[in-house]
Amino acid sequence: MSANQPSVEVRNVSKKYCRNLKRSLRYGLADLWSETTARRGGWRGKLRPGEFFAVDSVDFDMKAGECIALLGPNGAGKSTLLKMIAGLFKPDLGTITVRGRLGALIELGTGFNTILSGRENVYVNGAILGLTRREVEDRFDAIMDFSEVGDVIDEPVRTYSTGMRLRLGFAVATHMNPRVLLVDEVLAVGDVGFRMKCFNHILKLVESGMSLIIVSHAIGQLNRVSTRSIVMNKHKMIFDGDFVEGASLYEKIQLEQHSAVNEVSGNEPCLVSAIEIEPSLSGSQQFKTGDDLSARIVITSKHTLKGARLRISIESARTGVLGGFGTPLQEFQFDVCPPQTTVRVTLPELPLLMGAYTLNATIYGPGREEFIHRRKPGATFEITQPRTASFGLGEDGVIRFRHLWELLE
Amino acid sequence: MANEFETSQTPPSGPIESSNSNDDVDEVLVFTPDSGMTNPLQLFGDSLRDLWAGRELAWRMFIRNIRGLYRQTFLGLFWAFLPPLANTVVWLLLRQAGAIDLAEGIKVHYAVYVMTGMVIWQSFTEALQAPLQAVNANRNMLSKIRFPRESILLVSVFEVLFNLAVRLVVLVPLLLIFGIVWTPWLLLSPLLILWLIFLGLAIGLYLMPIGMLYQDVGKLIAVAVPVWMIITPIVYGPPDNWNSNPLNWLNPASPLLTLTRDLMLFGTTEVWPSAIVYAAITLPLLVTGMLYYRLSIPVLVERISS
Repeated sequence: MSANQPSVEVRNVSKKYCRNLKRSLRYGLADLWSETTARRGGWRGKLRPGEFFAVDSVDFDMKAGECIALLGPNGAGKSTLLKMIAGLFKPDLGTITVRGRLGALIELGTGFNTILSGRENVYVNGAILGLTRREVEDRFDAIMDFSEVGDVIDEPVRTYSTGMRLRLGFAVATHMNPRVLLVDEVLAVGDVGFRMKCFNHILKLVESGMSLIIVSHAIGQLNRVSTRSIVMNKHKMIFDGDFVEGASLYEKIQLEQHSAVNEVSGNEPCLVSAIEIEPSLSGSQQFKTGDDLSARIVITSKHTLKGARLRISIESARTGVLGGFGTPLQEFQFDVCPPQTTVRVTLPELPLLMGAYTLNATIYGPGREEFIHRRKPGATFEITQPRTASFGLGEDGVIRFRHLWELLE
Repeated sequence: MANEFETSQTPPSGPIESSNSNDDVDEVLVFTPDSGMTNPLQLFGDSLRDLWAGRELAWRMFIRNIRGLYRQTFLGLFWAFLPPLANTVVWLLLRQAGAIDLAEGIKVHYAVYVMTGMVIWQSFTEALQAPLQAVNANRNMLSKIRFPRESILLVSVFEVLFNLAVRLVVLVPLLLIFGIVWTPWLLLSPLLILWLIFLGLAIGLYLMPIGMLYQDVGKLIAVAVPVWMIITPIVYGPPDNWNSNPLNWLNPASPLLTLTRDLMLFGTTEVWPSAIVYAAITLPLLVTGMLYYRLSIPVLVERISS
């Protein structure tokens, strides 16, 4: 293979899935028969009753040393795609080509026997992942070092904490030096310190020319390793390109998918019926950092409500609620009159960086604890510019900090 | 879809230890929807290659299993010998109680006869049940990691052979104590039993894929094995006119088992013709069974993984 050949080629790949167990087993039996009799005629691409494409026509190439973040809500088909690339089962349509030693971290510590010692398990696990005895021996110290398990390496794994098992599993898996590594969600667990260490290690491997496809919901951390993202939604690939753009698209999907929490207290016939973000200069819900944003909050009511209060909160898909404020803060007073009252709120010079956000609204009565209705998620908007940059090159994260530099001495 | 790699392969960059001597850096994997049966020869080649590639893994897993097993038992290896021993004791007690006497026509001590048959039978049924049990036990690994699939079968074979070795170490001295005449066949008995193990494994391989989808198969095997044992001449003497009674040679376990036991105990047998037929079909059956196994694993992983 030459260096300019992609290390992973995914060509128009689809995979069928059936949720009904009985049917699924029957189809399994039929597939078994077709497989054994080498049946031809594209039967694999046809949907049977109850089936749908869990992965639908996904197509991309990956260069050596590239790091792709595979993003998407739960059930979008990410894991199924990853398992096909890992060769655990076949695509129903399309072709996958992988060049170079392939490693997959679908689950850490798979194959550990808890009765045996950590040392014994390192050897077994290494063999499962394709390392020879020599290779494990050569890397044993590095694995020990990385996992920080220490003296207990000769104690049975059943005495290890979950974190220790995880560390050992990760250490073995990444020390097999794959050329192509697939990571599925495994870094969601473990303490922050170790997670950072894992990411640093992955970063080092990527810099050395390893290709990485990583599934994770920790967008903030992926930012450090990924330059490119592929977003899947409803079994299809809907975006392939710049990481930050994909991440903000994914955040938007996340926010929109959260089922509406429309809490209503008592039988107060008064509610926040709509939140409308006024379009930006570009005429859409997309803004730049530093833009002014205005939103209209529409409250419908059957009765007059004197001295109502309104609270706005801003939520980021990545980090949760960023903050909020209520009308009394600026001594803004208003009454809700039937049938409808509209309040406009403006946030000048948005200090938010690239990503997707929601603006939620809650209406209260005049009394201290008189909660009436909360619309959450409210309206979604996106910050699409300027691009954020990691590695100390620009600004990154969620919030823009105003700052000043001075050289002293 | 042969691996087309050019010779001048250099990793794009990177000082990190990636410059190790792994020849599989060049490995090219192609996954397509096509059935492996479109190219059976390559399928066979891949199967052999993975069997070879998985030998070290199989050995490690075998050691792991044995260690794990015996580290948590008090009696250790005794457990390997218990099943045939217990079975033998049952039949001795039945005979003692006068309930049944099946010893008619047996020219050696009844206990020796039953014990020998039981040891051979045990290996056969273990091999028969091995594929389904192995895939079931490793379903999590199969759906999470890509490793040579054949290795877990190899582990099963190692385990069956290990159990057999433990039993033979007890059985053979016992035979000599009970006055069995020494023949070279005693030395060759492991090879004869190995053939029966292969036959059991082949049948087990054919049952495994459907058994992984439907638990009925596993339940059926559990019910069938004791019945099968009764219709196999283990606790009673070999029937007269062997070749004229189809029950004798239609039962796949019977000819090879009878042959092995006869040769071990008497140094001679009358069941050569049917035994040779079964011995001859065992190997093709095993090879096709392995191919079927290889074809079925991805289909099964797709259905059983959660």
